[in-house]
Amino acid sequence: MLEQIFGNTDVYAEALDGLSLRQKALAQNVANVDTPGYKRFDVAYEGQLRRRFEKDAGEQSEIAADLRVGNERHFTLGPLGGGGASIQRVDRQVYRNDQNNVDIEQEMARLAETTMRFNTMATLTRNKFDGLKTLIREIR
Amino acid sequence: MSFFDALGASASALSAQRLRMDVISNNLANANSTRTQEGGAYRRQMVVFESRGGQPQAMDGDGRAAPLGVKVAQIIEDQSPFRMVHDPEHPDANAEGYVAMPNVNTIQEMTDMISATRAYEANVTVINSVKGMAAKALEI
Repeated sequence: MLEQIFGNTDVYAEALDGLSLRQKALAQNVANVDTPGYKRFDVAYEGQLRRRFEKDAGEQSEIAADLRVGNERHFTLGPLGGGGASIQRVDRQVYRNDQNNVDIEQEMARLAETTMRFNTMATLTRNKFDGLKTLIREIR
Repeated sequence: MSFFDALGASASALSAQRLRMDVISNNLANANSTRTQEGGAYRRQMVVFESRGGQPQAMDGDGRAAPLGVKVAQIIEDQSPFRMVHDPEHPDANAEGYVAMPNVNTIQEMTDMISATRAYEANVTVINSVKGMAAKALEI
């Protein structure tokens, strides 16, 4: 029951975590645009989220396993967090003489995209909680 | 906290680029200085950037990650030879009538200046974007 009400708020949380980690990596890349030998960081989290979704859709028992607790009447909110995002250094694609591979235009485009995605996810999360609030208030 | 790491990275880049700008303006101001405290003509100075901190950390770390960003490792002097100008009337002219002028190339300094300005602007954009994300997260 509870997982139906709270649905995928933990997925929102993971997406927001992944996006803020990506934002941090982009800030580090832009800060080091003139540092010789610096290699840019990249954050991938969509892959992990997608695998997670496929797993959830594939077998409902997995969700049940995540929600299992000691006493049957206890409840949890499911697997929160979990560190779905992974960060790695990109060593290839060196095209500058100082061995730095930060392309400032690419970074700024990614920055704009990350901000928009983050705002979208935050709005979705907020709508989710607004819906829950309405549910709690109106059903009696 | 997560957002402050990104802000710190961009802020360190702002001060590093500002220091670079200070060095550039000092070079331009001394483009014709034939006397220094160390003796001899002025030598062009250059900043050396060094990446600070390791890999950006996700939110669920221990919260004591090294600060991100960039720092000025040192300011070095350009050891390229002085520009020799024939000017026998000059008080610093040598026996052959040549004056050692600073090894400052005005065009190079101007392009460095534009590069520093653009990098500064990029980091300001990152700071604004991170601020927008943090404000949006507060709306959840």
